[in-house]
Amino acid sequence: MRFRLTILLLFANIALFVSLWFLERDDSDALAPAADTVPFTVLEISGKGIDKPRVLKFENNRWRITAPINWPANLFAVNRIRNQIEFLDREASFSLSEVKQHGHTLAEYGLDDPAYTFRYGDGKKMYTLKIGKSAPVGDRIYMLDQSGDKIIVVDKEFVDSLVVDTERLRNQNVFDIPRFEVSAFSIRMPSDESANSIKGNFRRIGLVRDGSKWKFETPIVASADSNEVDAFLGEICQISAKSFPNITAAEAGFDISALPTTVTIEGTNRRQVLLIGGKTKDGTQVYARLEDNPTIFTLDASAFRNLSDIQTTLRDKSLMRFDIEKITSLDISKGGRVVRFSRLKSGVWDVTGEDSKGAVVTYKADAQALAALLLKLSKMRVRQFVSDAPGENVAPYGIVPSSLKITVTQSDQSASGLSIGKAYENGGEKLVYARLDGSDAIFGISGDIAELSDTDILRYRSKIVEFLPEKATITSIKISEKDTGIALFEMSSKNGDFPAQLAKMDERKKVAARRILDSAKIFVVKNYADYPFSDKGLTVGGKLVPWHYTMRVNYDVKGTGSSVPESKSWMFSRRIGGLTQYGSCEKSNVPFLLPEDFIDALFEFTRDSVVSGELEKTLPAAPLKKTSK
Amino acid sequence: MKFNKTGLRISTFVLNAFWRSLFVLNAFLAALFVFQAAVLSVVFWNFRMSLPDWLSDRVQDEIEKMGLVVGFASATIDFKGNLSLDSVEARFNGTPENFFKARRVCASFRLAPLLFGEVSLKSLRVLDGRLGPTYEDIDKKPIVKSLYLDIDRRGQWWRVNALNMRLGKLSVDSSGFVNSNFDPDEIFGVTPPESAAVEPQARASGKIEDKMAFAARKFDAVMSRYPELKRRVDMLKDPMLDLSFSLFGGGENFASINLASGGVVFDLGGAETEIKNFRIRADYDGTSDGGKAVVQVWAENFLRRDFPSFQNVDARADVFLDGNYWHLEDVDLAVKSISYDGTEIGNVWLRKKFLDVSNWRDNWRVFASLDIHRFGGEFSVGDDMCIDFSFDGRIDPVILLSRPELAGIEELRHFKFPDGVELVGGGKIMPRSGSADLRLGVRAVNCLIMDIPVASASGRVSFATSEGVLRAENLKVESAEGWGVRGAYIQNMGTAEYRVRVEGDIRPMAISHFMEKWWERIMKNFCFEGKSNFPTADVSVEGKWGNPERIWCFARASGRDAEYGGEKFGGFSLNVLVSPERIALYDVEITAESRSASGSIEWTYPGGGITSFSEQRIFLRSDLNPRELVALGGDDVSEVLEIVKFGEAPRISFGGILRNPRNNPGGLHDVFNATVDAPGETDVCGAKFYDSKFKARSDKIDTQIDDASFTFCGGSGGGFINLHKSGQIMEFDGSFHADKMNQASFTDFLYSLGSVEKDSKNASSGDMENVEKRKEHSKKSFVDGGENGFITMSISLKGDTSDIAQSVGGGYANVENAELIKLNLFGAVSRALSAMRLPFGSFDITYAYSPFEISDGTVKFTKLEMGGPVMRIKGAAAYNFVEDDIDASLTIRPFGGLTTPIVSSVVSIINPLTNAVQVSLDGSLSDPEVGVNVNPIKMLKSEKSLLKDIRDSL
Repeated sequence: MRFRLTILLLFANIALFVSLWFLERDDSDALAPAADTVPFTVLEISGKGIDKPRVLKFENNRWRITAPINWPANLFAVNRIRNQIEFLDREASFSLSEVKQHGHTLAEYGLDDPAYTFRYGDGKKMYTLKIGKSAPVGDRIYMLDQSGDKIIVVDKEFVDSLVVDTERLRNQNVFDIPRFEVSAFSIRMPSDESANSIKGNFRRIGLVRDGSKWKFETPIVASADSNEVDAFLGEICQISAKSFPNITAAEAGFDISALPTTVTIEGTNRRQVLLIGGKTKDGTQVYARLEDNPTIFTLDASAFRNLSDIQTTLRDKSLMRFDIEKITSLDISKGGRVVRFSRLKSGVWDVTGEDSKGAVVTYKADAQALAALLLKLSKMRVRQFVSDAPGENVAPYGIVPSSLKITVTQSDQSASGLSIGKAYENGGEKLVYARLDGSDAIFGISGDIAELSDTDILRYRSKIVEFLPEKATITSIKISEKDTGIALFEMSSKNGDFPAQLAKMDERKKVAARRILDSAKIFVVKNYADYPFSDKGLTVGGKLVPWHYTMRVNYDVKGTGSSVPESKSWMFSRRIGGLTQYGSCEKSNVPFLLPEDFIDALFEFTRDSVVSGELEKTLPAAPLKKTSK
Repeated sequence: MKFNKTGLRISTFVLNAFWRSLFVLNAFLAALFVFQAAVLSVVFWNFRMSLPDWLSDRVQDEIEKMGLVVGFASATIDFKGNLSLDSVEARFNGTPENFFKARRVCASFRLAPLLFGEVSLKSLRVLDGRLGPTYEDIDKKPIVKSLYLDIDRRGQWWRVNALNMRLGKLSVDSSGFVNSNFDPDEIFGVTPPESAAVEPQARASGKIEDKMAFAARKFDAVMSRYPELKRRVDMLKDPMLDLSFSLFGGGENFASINLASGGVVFDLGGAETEIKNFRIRADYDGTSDGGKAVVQVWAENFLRRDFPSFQNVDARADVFLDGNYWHLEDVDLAVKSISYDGTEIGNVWLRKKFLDVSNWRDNWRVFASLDIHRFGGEFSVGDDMCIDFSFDGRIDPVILLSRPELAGIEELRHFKFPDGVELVGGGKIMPRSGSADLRLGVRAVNCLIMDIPVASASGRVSFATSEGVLRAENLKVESAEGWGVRGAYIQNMGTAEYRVRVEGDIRPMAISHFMEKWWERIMKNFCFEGKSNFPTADVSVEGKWGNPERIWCFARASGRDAEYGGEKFGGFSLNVLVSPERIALYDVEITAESRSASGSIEWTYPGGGITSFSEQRIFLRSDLNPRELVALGGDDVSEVLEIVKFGEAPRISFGGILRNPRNNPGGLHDVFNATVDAPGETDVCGAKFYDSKFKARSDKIDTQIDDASFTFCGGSGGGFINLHKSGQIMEFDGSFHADKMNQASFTDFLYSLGSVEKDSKNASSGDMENVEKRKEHSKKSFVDGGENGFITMSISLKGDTSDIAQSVGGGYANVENAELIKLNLFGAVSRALSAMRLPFGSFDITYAYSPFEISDGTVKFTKLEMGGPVMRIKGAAAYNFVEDDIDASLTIRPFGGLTTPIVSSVVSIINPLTNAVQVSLDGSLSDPEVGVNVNPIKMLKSEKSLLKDIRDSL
């Protein structure tokens, strides 16, 4: 018996001990929270001052409006309200008991049926703040702090800051996922051919982030233009709801029998789907809702106007990828004629091709023209994605073996060829069809490239036709009329310095003279004019354009002993137009067009001779005599 | 069997002892049960009790030993190990003020260690606490207010359930975990400067006073940061900090910080700057080797006076920390829209892949998506703060064209770029020197430039502030209708000098916006055949804005298959030269079929500026037909050619010098020279000339027409005329001759002159039929039978064109006509002679001649002689053409023409007889009265004397 008692007591003690142990170990409620530190997770705003009560809840670490619409709340608006309430200055207040003692009622303060009532707390324990009417003196308003049992007098501004309309209370953005966080997105929309059918086929365009780049996953695998994607996401992620119409899903175009267009955005561990319904009556907005939220809202329709083109607008439009510095050769071929640029070890470029007589010639290349062409190639963008169909016959696009082709070869011997087909217009823009070697895709690119690249070798020949040796000193320069020998411009100096002569000239002539002197040292032409020419002139369009002026430059070249006198001479036509004047130099095998600066400079000294001659010759004579009565 | 001393068997003894012990055990267990039940009850129902004074004193003593002075109004404890202190205040021993106050502090201690005398805090809660520096009244100047701390301990970890407080305006909500190994110095690692050397001493001394003094200084040092923090926090509107953290210690910490504020206002660069509704989120993940933080910033607005405002600013960066080295990766700054002074740009990005102190200047990428357009670029900042940048993309120039500064420029409203403008370029900004270089390529398609539909426009633009020259070169414009031009525009910003170069095809009316009004007036009548047929222009212009009198221009324009004024021209071309000394249109060439015109026009400005021209020189050579001349020349030419009607294209050579009346100090006259060679018929007011040629020169006062030659009425003629203008009077002095004119044609011409006059007079009365009858009658009475006659005449005349009747002159007229006798005029004479019973019927009159004089409205034929092979009539006549009054007196020698000797002797008998008979004509020319006077005395007079009498009588 005693033993049983012992066992019983033992177990009872053990049970008590365990209970005590667990009670002691119980940390969950070690200290009861203070009554005034209840979490602020629910906010209700009601009262006669607003039409529909607003209820906001803190869920999943975010504030959300749950009534009258279901929508994310504006953090800042809620935060402001919370701050105002939590740190309410209760200094200007008086107790309810005092009010009652003096025979007043809450109605006199507008607190029996308050304009606004704020209830806040954690849902279980809620506090109420009532806002009454304005005080008779000052811009103040009465408030009833229920917990403090006090009537508080606050500035009207304070109340204004509390009473936020739904528009400001709601988060403006539709998507919660910040654009930086987006790792993938897709668009699903009815395919064109089924746009009119209720249950049509859908096409899905999906893109995923690949490191810092984006790429298409569907319907084709292709690189995307990161800038374009960012721009698209920039708009989509910040798209804001315009209004919340009170209409049914069917009225908004969310008929259960039809699948709406959707925009899906995926972030880190979350995904949001925007369903796009029909357009509003005025067509400026579209109805939309989120997949997990029945609230229907409207969006600016313009944000989705190019949605159907997204497969092309977001696609990477760069065409030829190469490093200009690493290019070793560039071929331009068309109709059997080839112009080839080759980079020499010195870094200088040569150009080889056929002249007008069919002979193969090599010239020093015009670095500027080549640079412009390479820059154009490197910056070239696809204007239109015409076809991605593999194995398509490209002849209808004018891409045939004889069509213009540009091939770029880099130092690693990798070559990239671009075939250019016929021209066409796309929306008024002049484009040409193009295709890259090894690709089935047909692109539309700007027609500029075809204009920049042809097989006329003279186009790429260096524009420097004459230059004096580095140590040469110009001793004299003279421009004269070819037939009469009349000097129009003349300067001479023993040491190549012409300050005295220049000083006598007016400013314009001085500038012109310097320009001519500079040209005498390095004569750069505007372009070559591949016309028949002789000592008399050149034939342009069947008409002889005679050489009218000559320029002769005498210079000394310092030798080992004494200076060696040498000379060069040029012939120029009259000025044919504002920008047109022909020239030839004794050693060039082709006439050329003078550059505009030189034309202007030359004209400064020849201007007076171009008009007066004719008018002077035909100068009217006055009547010889006068009659008299 | 064994027995013990009691005699009981050992087994019995042990059993008895066991039962007795069990009793004791039961008693103990029963007592323990009661005790535990009592404790459990107290614990379970949380019985509290005031802390006994002795214990309270003991607690305070113990705390004071730690260097703190703690006071509280009341304290309660419970049997769960919870201690609750109300109105707690604490200060460091030796400091004047409390650093801590709280409405309540609750602490929970583990019971088990307490049983062994060890204090093991299980949890702690501070309600409505305040913190402040040790030297200021915490009630007056608290730094931390509304402190709510709720922590409990789990093994090595302190769980911070809540650490909420108010720091100035900042509301802080935080929670997290802190490992026991965590050293607060890692975060609050503030060592008071004067204590840098004190801490080791404090540690070394081991004295609690020293340690607490050091702790107080350290606490104050932390608190001393508050003014700076408050200054920043006070700028924020409704700031709220949400912090969650895990502090492992040793650098391996994690923290997530969310700072949200309704806005901040601060001074930036001397201007008030406001950021509205911003949020900063930073997720820090630290390791012993360093840390990484992902920082995101979002702001609704960024506003600053005289600075672009930003809306929806969104930024992120990966921040990497490694000791003292930090760097950022994937720095992204996105702005939904940037607006400045009415201009708005949307969706702007700023990016940098890698950012640290050494490379913060390099390779920043900017990208803007402007509606459907995109624009991006890169920039780097050099050591010298020079900014190198490059860009490419497409923009809608509306953002520039809609600028208020440009709103008043009407022309800009005529630019539209629905597809935007592509820009590719770069440049350099040198802030220190205030200079910048810019170069860019521009391209636009399907746009409207000055209302001209343009298919494409492109060019390169460069500008260097150091040079001050804007260069727009390689400009190329292709219009939608097919014409296109290339060119350049160079503008010196410093001197306002410009240079424009244009070359290509152009539809003249398309550029009428840019031209003076005369351009539209002239060019609107131009049509060009064919879809792609436009005139070409090749133009170079240079000048200076604000100085229009100094322009240099050279241009050539040409075209083909044009229609102007209703006439077709095969081609045209001209050169234009403008300089401060002259404006010239030269080498003007116009062709129409096989005809052409060429010429030049020049205005001279000897003053060296295009202000008021001195003289205008014109030269024109043309064989265009009259319609073409009218088409080109307009009303002026039309007026002339209505009077002078060329049957065929005349060959005209014209030259002129026109003086500017406002710039003609010498009073020089305008001079015109013309040489006209008009093959075929030329009708001048009804007078038909053929193969006319003449030279004319005029100075508007004097006009001299020389070397005139023509075929008139079948005869060849020529002459000259000089005109002199004197006031309103135009004097003339001319001389013309005509040989072998057909008598009938000439008389027709004369009558046509009369008929014209009469036509006009009678036309007004409407009696056209009578006019024709009179005309026919007159013709028959005067010129009938003149088809075979010839008239040769010469005339010299001078006078006043406004009073031709008073002209003075003279001449000679000769008529040769074998049938002249048949003229009615002589019929009248024959009637007179018949009265003399003389047989005149057989006499032929084949000639008539006379010199004549014109004066006072009268033509006097002083030596009129008519005759034939036999007969001769001599006399004189006077015709007053003003009053149409003829007065003639004739003597008739029937055989005066015979010279054979026999006949002469007979005639010599008869002639004196005829002297007695004189025929007189009086009255109007068309119907003169013929009289015959017989005076026998006159038979005695000689012929010479008789004729003298006649002349005198007239």
